[in-house]
Amino acid sequence: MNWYRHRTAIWLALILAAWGTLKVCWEQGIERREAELRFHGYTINRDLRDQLGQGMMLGLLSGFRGVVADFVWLMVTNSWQDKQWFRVKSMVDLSTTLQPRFIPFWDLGGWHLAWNASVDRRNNRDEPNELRRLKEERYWINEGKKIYERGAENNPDSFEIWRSLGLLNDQKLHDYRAAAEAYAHAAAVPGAPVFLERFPGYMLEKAGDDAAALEVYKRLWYLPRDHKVPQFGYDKVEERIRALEAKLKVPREKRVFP
Amino acid sequence: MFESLFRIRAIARNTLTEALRQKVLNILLLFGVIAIVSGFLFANFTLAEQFKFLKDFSIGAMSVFGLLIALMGTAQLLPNEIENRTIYTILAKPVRRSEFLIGKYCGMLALLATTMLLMSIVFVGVILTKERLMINAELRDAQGTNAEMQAMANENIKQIHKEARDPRLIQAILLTYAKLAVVAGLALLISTFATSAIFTVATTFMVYIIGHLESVARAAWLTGGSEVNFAAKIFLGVLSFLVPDMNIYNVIDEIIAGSAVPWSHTLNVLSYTGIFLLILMSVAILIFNEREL
Repeated sequence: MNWYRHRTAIWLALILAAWGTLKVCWEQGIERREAELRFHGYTINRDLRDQLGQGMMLGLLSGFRGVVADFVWLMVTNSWQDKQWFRVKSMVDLSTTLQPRFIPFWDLGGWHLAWNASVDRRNNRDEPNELRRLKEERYWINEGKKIYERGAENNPDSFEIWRSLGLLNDQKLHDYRAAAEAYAHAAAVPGAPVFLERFPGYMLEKAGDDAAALEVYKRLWYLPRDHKVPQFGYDKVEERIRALEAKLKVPREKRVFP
Repeated sequence: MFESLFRIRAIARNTLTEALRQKVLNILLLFGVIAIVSGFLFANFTLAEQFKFLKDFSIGAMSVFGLLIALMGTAQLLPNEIENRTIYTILAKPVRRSEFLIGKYCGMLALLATTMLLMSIVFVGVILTKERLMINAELRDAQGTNAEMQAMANENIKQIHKEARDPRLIQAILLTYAKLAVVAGLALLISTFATSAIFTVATTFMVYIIGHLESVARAAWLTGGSEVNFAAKIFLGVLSFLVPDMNIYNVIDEIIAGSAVPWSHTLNVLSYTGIFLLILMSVAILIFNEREL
């Protein structure tokens, strides 16, 4: 065999074999890192293709995931204006699948379902049966809640979704303990607004658990902070502690404000 | 060594000048229109949505036009030289084929860098104009309102600044450029054995699309188990060995969506791109050296 004549082919095979091995390992490493950073949103399958249609699927395959997600989101807005709530839901699902790290998709998507869809169904004049209207209302509130829960699971570093979940539990489901828990999660996220720290206390008071609420306010009061900074809202904390200590008849020696 | 670099530089400069004479940069006009229109089209959306749309459409337009330039421009490089017979004049001089090929590729990279830079300037201009308009609107709305409303307006202004002056966009632009460099490299490699520019464009685009599915192929190859038959495994393995994973550039979408992408990750992707381009060029040179002109 004339090795000299085949030297190019041999070189090619050697280069590609060496590079191929390194390449696969490198790509696996990048993929692992992206999974750690929670960048993996979707897998390309027939379901996705059916939902997106041919044009948008081509856009997705050409690397324009963000633009495709934006177009899907525009459809959410159109469907919301037309009150096509099931379409809103499926489009919200699709856009959050494509870009799970864009918080407003979760936040606004949940709001469309839990607030807009539920109120629309509650006031549905075509449905004379009030029980059925209430059932529909509850259905959309729960769908909104599911969006928030999935959003929070995908974005544990976002206070916005936890805050929205707290608001939903408070105002729509009147589950104040769950609301307190959600607000506590929101407040614990670095960079969350400090006023959220008081919300678990307010919610526990609404739930009728004054003792637990007092503990929340006391914990805030004893944090090593400058109490004069207005952002911390210590005037409100003090007001609540005083009120709860009086209400719970806490002995003077055990009070924060004897 | 230095003489070789001078020759490469001369060929690269010539390639860039030729491309600029073909009025490739006219595409920038189109880009500018898209960026400006997308910037002002979605005024009814929330602040975060508006900026996301603007960034997505602008970076998307950069990618599309860059892809067109990389594909069309690179695919024509060798066929044009062969058809016009200028390649014979060049290679008759003391210029190696490898220097010719590297020079051509560097010229294409310079063209892509020029267009990306100009598009980035338009993009920054549009985003800063949007920022100014939104801040003015916030200030106008907050005028004569109570302290609470003014505090809210200040929060919104902070948010607008944060969205408009996001330094992570530099990462997004760098990664877009890297992706285009890979496409140009692939097109150049294919054009070393292709017989027509159309073949090069079609094949490169196909490889580009397959590249976005490479991670699926790799996963099936590595973890498919008995579900994937032997022939399919061989095919998927070859695909994973040869085709670049274009999905690694999808991190651009994460940056625009507001995720914190560490620079170490970006540099890792850029290093992968660099090594991949070196391999592409080596293979292209090997094939081009053997080609009968």
